[in-house]
Amino acid sequence: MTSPSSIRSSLESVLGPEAVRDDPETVAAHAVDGVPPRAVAFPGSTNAVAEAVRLCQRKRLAVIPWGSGSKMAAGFPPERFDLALSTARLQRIVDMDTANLTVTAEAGVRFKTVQAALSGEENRCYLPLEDPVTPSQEEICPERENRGCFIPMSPPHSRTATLGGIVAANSSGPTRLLHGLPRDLVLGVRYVTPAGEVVGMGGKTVKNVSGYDVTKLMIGSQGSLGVVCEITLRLLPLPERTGTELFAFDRREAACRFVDRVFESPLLPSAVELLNHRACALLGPEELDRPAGGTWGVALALEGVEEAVTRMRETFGKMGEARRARVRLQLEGEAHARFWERYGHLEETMEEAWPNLITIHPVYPISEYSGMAARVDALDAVCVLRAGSGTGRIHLLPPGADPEGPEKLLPVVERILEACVRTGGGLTVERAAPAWKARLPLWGPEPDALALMRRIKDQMDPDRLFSPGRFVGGI
Amino acid sequence: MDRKPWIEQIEEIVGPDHILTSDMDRILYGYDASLAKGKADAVVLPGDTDEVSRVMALAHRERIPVIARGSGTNLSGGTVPARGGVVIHLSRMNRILEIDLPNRTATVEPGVITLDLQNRLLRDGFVYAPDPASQKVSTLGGNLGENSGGPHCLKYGVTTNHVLGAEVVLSDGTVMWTGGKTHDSAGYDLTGLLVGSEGTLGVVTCMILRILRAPEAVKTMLAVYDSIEDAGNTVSAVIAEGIVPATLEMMDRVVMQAVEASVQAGYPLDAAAVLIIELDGMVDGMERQAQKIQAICRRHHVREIRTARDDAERAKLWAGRKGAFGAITRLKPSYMVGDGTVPRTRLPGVLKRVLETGEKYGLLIGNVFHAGDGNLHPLILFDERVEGELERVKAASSEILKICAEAGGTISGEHGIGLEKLEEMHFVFSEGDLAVMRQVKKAFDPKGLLNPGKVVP
Amino acid sequence: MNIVQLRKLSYDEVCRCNRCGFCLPSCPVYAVEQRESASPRGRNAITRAVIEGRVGWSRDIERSIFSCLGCGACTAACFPSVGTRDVVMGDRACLAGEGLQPETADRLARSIGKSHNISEEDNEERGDWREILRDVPDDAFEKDAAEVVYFVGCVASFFPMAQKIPVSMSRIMERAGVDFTILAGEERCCGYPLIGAGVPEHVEAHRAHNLRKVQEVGAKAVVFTCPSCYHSWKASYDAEVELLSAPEFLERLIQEKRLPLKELRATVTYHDPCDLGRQSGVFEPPRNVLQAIPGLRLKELPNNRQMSVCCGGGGNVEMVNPELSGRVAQMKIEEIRSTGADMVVSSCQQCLRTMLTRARREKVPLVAKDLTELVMEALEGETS
Repeated sequence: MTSPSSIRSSLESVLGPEAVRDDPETVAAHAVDGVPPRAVAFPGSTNAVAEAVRLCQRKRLAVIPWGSGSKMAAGFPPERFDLALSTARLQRIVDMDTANLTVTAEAGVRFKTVQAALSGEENRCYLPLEDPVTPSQEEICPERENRGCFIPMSPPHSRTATLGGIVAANSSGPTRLLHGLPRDLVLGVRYVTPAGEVVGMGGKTVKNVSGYDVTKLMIGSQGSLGVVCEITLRLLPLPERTGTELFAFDRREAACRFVDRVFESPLLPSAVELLNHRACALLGPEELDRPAGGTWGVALALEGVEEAVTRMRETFGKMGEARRARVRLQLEGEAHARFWERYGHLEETMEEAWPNLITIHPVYPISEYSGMAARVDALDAVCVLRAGSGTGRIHLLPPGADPEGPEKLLPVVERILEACVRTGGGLTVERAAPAWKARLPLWGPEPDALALMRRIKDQMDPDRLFSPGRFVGGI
Repeated sequence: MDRKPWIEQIEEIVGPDHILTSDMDRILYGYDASLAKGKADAVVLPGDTDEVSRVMALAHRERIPVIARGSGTNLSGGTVPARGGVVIHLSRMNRILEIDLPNRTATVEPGVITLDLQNRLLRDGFVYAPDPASQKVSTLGGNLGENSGGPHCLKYGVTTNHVLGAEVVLSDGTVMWTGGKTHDSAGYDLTGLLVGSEGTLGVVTCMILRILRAPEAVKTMLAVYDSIEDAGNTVSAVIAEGIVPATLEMMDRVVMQAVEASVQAGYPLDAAAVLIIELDGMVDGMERQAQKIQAICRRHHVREIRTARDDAERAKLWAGRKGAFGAITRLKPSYMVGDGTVPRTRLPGVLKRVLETGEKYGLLIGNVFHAGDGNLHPLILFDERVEGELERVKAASSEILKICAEAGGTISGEHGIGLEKLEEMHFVFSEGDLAVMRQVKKAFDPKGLLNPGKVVP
Repeated sequence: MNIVQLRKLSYDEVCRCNRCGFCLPSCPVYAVEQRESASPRGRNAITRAVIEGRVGWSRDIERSIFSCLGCGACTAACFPSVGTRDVVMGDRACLAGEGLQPETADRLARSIGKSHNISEEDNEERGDWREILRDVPDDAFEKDAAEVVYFVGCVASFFPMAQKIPVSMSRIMERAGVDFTILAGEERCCGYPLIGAGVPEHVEAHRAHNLRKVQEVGAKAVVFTCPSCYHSWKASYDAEVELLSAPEFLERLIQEKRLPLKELRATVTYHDPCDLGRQSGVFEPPRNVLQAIPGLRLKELPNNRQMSVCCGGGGNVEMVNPELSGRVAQMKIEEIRSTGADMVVSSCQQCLRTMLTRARREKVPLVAKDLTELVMEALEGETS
């Protein structure tokens, strides 16, 4: 057994003293399911990460990569945990190539930070400066109107989430309806393997079939196959116009029928979110849940050219009217941005208010959303269902100070799981108190290909040093 | 040929009509649309997953290589039995098992022709987005194996973005499902690994595909240029202007001439390049977008812009593009097609160097490419019967891939590595990168029996 | 033919095949068999391998080469336009040279050589179809001199199922006042089946005989109801008279207002025979004739004109491999039924025979008529 101080000193010798901490406060802040690491490393570069991992490999230390910590509550408690490998100092935006519609940044960069940088005015050059084909770019496109780019993602924990965390969890939000999942948007990764080797997969091109698509394997691997250090993402030009349509219905069935109509139309909203009354109350504006209780809301995000957004507003408005929507709110500009900001922050809001809540990420074929809505209707939960995407979030609230409270939630989770499995889906538990985890189906039903997944883990991390025991099937 | 005992065992599994062992058949399953050649030991045409599984279990016991294939249209030697073995031709497994409109999925066997699914879906107003130029011939299983692209990938992504789940037979005959009808499955993204693995990880016997509602409106334009640089700069400018069309395709003069001789798509023969620009989606604002694009074209000295007025005209504009590879042998009997891909902004510079490479080696090169994706398809023309030409072509082709790699791109955008680009893998991957790929291979196929000698050097 | 000659004939052609595979979905035989040896790409590759000495002629190769319908759909779908049909015919000649042709092909060649028709019948019986027309003498339509020769062809002369065609055609010509003759016992096989059987060198004697007979009657034109005879004459006869397919001739008679047509209420679909459409470029005349019949609605097949799918009756496959031919016919029947039309009309006795034979065997209701039959029914004053 290596003592904490010897871990620190060995790490210090490769990373420098400023990059390693083992003070109680830091260690406690990086605990996973209540298990604190023996030290936390803050390498400042991909190569430094590799150095640290090689050291862990030599000393057989168990490593868990750590971004902002927003999604660390998912998964089984670690079997072993020696070192938290923080990406907090991997903060460079390496390459912002808006002309090519790609951005490359280090894993520790917050999503919010890149997004803000991309929307700025300063990245208007679209020809590679080192290889000017036409003498002056001004000649090429003097009256360029485009205002900037964005990463077409809307992840949960949007204020804190890092790119590395989003990739490791394949974490997605409402606009996945139009833009897809991280697996559709990540073009390449550079990561450090459990052996401490820096490898690069994918690149700056949308199409790439050179060799195996190992990038896909890393996306959603939850830190069990290495540390993702650098990520290249696909961008889109900022849309000409954006907006939100909010509706509230007295009855769940009416809300669902409205959503059905939306999908039957040729229109292309970027998000269609079905909210139970508690979610309405939390997300506001206030009118959405007035009178309180019993209502179901539908939030539609719109983006595109002026004419398309206008038509969507008109058409959806009429559809809502036909289904007797009690409330219709149109958000634009700041109000629109603030609403989706709150949306992206919903998880934190919940976690702050109810530290013991259980957050479920249900998975089901997309047409089953109305059945899912019926199932959660009676639950004391904050629930958003991602219509058209076959997922959502169900936050089960622990019943007050009742000491038996948690017990009562466990069968609820089982029932939701059963419902999802019946449709051919499953669920993952994204958050639950460590004490309950042993009794919860954290990753849903066992995947058919679990044996093959284990073989991949055995090949890539034979000593089981990365996030040991935390992933599907205890991988 | 002396009949090996395992041939009789396969015969028992699939029936005598569905195993081919004649010298002729072994040669006929030795090629694809690339220049590579091999010879199969036997060819099996299984009728269902169980037969595939039993044949593979047998091959596993006997340590015989297994090469799965569809129509054999791939362009990198991916389905050539480089080391002999059993070729599994999945043409008989060609049923569309289910179209599930509410869940937006299609469940198909791997031998279904891509366009057959497309036509079936269109009846209900839906589409399967990937549209490789060979869609009329290619199978969906082959598309999965190669992670096929196509013109519309600029907006909709490649095959991997449209495969939700797959039933796969592993090298020992084990059958398992990865993914399913849902969009998020817990665990490693094995479906993502299988797509584009060129049959080296498993044989997919059933697949669940994502389908989309057909776009409400489509607008197709042909922009004609007197200079290839102008056409290239237009591509960059359109994207920079904040417009992502459904397609941005480019063809140069050499290709246009071959195509015109073949299908009379109406391309001007004296132009240096044409762009096919297509917008799709909601009808609203499309006209304004089109005008914006036309203004950009004019800023870049376009000679002429034509807009397809109806489906027939649109089909005509596309007919030429889709037949570009095939038509090129009107000029010379053989061609080698490159598939290098670069960040789209590097396209004009790279293109210039491609043409210089052609001059250096004294080879005629036609260019057709998915310009919006930065995906080049230089077609190097020659006659493989002329001694020494093939070597020169291979050298030139390799040099072009090097140029792409140096420009921050990669050696294959959609055709795969197969046999033809194995050496060039070193242009873009370090030994460490390749070691990881070998680990993947080992996890799936420890004995190395599936399509051996491909993808990873 | 030997390999040296084959190399000269086909090597450049097969080398232009770049194995892109675009021919695969267009080949009806591949659609049925689903294996490479049944595809045009495969047949090109075999030819190339034989020429390059990588494989020797064999029974397997014979089966592949003699399973080609010669329909030419592959070439229509081929961007570099590789002439696989001609390549295959060259192969057949070479196989026959090696004595490797199928027995049926050999028998056919010998029969034509001996009896001058494909049916091993006494060639004097060629005109026996006239017996159907009870009101005419045995030597009806035979003249020493005429403006037009009607070349009936073997199938329509000898197969009862197809004899309605010469019956209708002669009636129509009579009604239109055409000065025509048939050659009866002096008509010989046009030679086309000999090419398919791998003995193109035997064609010449038949060609010379037929040409001489046409010259003897001093005709200005020869009219054909058989697209294969028509194509054969056009492609290789070097005739100095006008050659017209029945649809072209009927179109002309209608334009000249020599055929009064009454109303026929029906929806029909039209099947383009390979040798008439793709091989000879006659696509519009039969359609114009159909449109000229009042009340008739034409509903096109999903695959029409250049893309028309063979009925299964081409390339002597019907004789060599009747099972395969029948399965192709089945596909054709299904395509026809998908249109919902009351009947399929074609301009080829062989197409009708192949389709109807299959339909009967499978007990599928199918009405198939030759264009001449339909025009005959539409003629005012005729009872059908």
